[in-house]
Amino acid sequence: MRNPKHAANISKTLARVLSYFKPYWFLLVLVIFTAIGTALSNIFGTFFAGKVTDHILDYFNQENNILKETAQNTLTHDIILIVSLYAGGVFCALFHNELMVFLTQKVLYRLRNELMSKMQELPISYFDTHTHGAIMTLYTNDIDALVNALNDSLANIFVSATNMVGTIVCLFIINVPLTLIVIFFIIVMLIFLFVNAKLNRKYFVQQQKALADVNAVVEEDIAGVKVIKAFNHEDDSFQKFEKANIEWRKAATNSFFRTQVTTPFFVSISYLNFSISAVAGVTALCTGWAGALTFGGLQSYLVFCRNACQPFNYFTLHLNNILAMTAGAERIFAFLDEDGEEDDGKVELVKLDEHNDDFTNRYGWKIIHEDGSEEIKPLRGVIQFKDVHFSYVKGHEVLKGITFEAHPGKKVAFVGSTGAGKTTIISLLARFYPIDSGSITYDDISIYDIKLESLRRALSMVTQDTHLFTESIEDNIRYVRRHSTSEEIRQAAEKSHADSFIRRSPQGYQTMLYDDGSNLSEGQRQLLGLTRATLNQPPVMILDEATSNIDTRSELLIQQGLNDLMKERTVMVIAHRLSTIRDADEIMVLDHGIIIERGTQDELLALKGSYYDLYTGKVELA
Amino acid sequence: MKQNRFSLWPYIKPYKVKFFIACICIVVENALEISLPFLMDILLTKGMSHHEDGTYTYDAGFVFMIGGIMIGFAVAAFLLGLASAKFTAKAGRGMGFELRKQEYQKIQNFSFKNLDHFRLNSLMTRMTNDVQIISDTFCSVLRPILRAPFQLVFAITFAFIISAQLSIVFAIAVPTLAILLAIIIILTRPQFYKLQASLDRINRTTNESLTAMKLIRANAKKDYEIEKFNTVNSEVKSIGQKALALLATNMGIMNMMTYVCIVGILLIGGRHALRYDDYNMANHIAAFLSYTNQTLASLIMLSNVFMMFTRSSASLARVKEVFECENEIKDNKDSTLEVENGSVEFNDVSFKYNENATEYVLKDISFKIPNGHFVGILGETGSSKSTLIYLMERFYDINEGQILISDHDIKEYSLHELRNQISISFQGPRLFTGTVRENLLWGNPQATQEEIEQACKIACCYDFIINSLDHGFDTMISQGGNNVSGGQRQRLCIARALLKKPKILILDDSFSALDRITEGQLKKNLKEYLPDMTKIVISQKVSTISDADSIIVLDNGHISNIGTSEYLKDHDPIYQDIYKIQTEGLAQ
Repeated sequence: MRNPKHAANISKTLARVLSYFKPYWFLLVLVIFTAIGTALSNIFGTFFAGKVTDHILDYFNQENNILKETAQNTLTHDIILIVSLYAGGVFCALFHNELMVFLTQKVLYRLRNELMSKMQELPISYFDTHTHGAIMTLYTNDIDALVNALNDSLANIFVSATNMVGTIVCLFIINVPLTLIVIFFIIVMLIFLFVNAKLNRKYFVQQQKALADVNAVVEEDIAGVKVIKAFNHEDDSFQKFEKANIEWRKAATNSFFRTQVTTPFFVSISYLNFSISAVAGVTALCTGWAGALTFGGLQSYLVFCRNACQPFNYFTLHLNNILAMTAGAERIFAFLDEDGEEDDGKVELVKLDEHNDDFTNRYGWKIIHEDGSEEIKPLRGVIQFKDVHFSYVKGHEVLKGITFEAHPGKKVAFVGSTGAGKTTIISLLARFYPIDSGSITYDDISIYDIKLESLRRALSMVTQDTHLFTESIEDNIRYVRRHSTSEEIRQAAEKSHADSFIRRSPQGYQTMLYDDGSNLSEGQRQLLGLTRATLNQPPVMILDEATSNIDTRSELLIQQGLNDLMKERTVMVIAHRLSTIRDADEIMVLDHGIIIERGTQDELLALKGSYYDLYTGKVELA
Repeated sequence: MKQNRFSLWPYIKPYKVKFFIACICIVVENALEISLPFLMDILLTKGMSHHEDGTYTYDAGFVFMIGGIMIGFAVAAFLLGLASAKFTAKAGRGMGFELRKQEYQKIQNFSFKNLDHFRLNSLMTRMTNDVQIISDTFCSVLRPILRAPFQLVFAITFAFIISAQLSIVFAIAVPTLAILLAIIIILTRPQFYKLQASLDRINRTTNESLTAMKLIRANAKKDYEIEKFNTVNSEVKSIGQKALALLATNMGIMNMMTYVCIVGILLIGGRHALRYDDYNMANHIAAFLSYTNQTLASLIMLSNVFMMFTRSSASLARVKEVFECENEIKDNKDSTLEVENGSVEFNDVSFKYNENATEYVLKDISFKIPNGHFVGILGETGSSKSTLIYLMERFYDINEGQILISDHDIKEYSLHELRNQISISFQGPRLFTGTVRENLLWGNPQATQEEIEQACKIACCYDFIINSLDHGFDTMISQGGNNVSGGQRQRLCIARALLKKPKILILDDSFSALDRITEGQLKKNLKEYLPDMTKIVISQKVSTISDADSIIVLDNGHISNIGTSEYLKDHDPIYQDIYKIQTEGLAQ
């Protein structure tokens, strides 16, 4: 389980969490002071409340009227003192609680933003090795733990600590031997809390595992519900689910029972402590076995006794919260400390002519030479790979010396089985991964000399999976060029043949998409992906299995629609289906990272090699 | 909030004995606890006597008896507490179990329309996390919700018994605090709903950004994404500050009222004692100070309970929606009518997914398929090919027209019979966790090894099961079936469909990952070994269906033409187009 309870280095992590409070350090100190103030007012209040009873009794004990009057005055003084103590306490409590809410939200806001910024900077390889679930956990569970700890526990642990110390001190002041009874029960309670917390954790983990098992069964059954129905398989599937559900019930019952044991134990220990202290107190008052004790003292003692366990209980609660938070915080900080994508390129894409509608004329490369002189190079879209080697994992080369060129107005295509390295080539061009050796250039500039953002703005990529956001269809298309007008979007959709299905959707272009566009078919999603590419203007266009779920006839219509667009651009196509690429100027057949055949379709067919076998259906592309 | 009412009682009912035991334990334990200050008051007033000289004596027997009772109560309260925790857990988790089970069954009975309405992800959440949250809330709320009112009533009653004068303090403080807390709850609740909504939004934004990472990178949209997130994030911050700040006043107000009570008791008690020389008042003050905490804490407990309800009400509402969803497909359950043969007839069938949609998805569809024929369905992406076959299995009910199978309206059959006689291999071939054999047995749980092998041989998957899978038929298929290739998965799904020995076999784009040789062999097997089975094949490849007895060409939900490949080549422009695109080059 990748879920330790505490951070490996608690104090370091805690210090780093606190460093987020640096801009508000004065307020934080104020919070701590008022928290301690809250506790002190409570303790002194209770202490003096006992004194009041003593003074009432004093009054009865005075024979003389003048002395009675003094006693009455003392009484008034006591009450005024108590009122002002309590008023201060209320003010302090409100103050530190409110301020802490305010500060916590500010700190979390900053942390969340840092997480998101970091996420956008991490190299793609990070996402290959970390599951979405694990990254999402940072934003949900780990941040939640921080909210709990900072909001509820950070200030209140000072309240409990002060209460703890104060209660013990007051008890000792009242009477030492009687206090030892209380101390005994507190120790018993602490031992119990410690042991139980360990057990709780074990059962909680079991419950989470059972819940995950139910999740897995439910996920599979819901995703496959159509198959289940078509095969009348409801009963069998239900039995499998029932089994997992029963396991959950068992584990969850155990886990909840465990956490709940604390309450009756705590209540009874307090009760027991109180009963024994009461009897002991009465005997002490009457026989004096425990030394000096007044009646009011006995009363205060009993009130303190009754509440003696509480601050200890709260203290452990807050401490647990804070410790639990450090585990999450450590994960968050580890994430923030990851290295971002390398981006030390100096060459930039700059706007040359604001009003030119043509992307290539509007922009150009700005190169700053070592001597400080500037050069503007026109943006054309020439791509060159020279002897490129690459491996995801050291020692396992995926690409073994790839060399090719792609020029504006030309279409190059890659075919080959899954794992041959087609998509990898494109990922390298977009600098999702760094190459091992060789060179890749864009307009004769090494892509590693170009600023990442500029490089990617000069590419237009359509991948097999179209990702859609929770917004309208129109806004989803607009994603690649935020300032496009509705009219431009409509035109793009017409070219990519997405217009007809969009118009037939319930609210046309304004139809909302949800859950990554789960209300659309695979083909429709790809149409939207293509529409985005149509709207996007860069001179290099990459289509990675962009039409794999679209039927051949629609694909041809789309190609006709896009022909205009492709005329001037450099087009790179990856396809499973050979009909998609037949008109390419150069087709490269990839096998295990090597280009084994290259040429036009006619040339390749004449070769009667691998391409020919694929084409005639002799082998199946896996 | 009224429309949100949803009774959990039916799900607690199977555990009602445990539930009541839990309730009783909680109440009795509470009664024992409440009597504590009362016993103490007796101990201090009756067990001790105060003498003129300021000394005290005590009645040892009495004091130890009361002490003994208190200790006995403490032990009893512990045992009762344990029992209540155990039974609460049993009842609460049992309720969660029952709720999830019924939800599962409800979803299994959902029509496809219901399934489309909820999205799959959301159904997942409703069955897993939401149930966990509801069960958690139930378990943690039961104790305070029973204790609080009880404690309140008893504390006040005992207080009155001890001293009516001092009780005035409670009579004023309790309603005041109750009103203040109620105001806070009323103000906070809408804020918490808002907070929940904005948290959902921030999670969704993050998740989407995470899924679409390559798209974002490829388009250099980093800053846009960060800005989008920042907007939602500041919303969370400001709503969070508002909601939590309001909630935080709870503790302050609670403290304040406690202090007001203590001061009030001291003032009234003190003045009374001095004015009337009432010595016992001093003792009563002690007991009252004890009750103050208890009384006011019970109110805070109640307000916490309300907050917990607020936090879980979103889950409850989501679960409730599942239960309220009605399956519009009426199963003719008791029908004994059997499907005699595999003939299919569509008469002027029209269909749309949503009653309110203006355009039909399928319009005026009519055709006849005689028993045993091999029929191809061809059409563009989005021409509703899959929808057409879903209608035959009554995954959706049609809006107009009639569908006949074996000369009877499909509504006359029970759904079980209908789906048993039609076998379908879906577009995205889906296998389940389990062995290859277990997956195949879905088609027919009673199938013998011989029948399984026969089906696999027809579906051209016998060889690879035996030769390339580690444990043959006992090889485990991982979730989603990712340890076999796409083509292998398609063939296994076809074998599964064949084991059902259906009258009608539907293959929805089931050959797309097969090479031509395997595809040809598989089709030959189907014709040769299963001549009486009606075979309906949806494909985007002309070559797959060109040898069919007839081909239905769909165009935007209409039938463009029906006929053999030869006929369509001459008469149907769409077919001509597709044919040309796909065979060009081969003809050279």
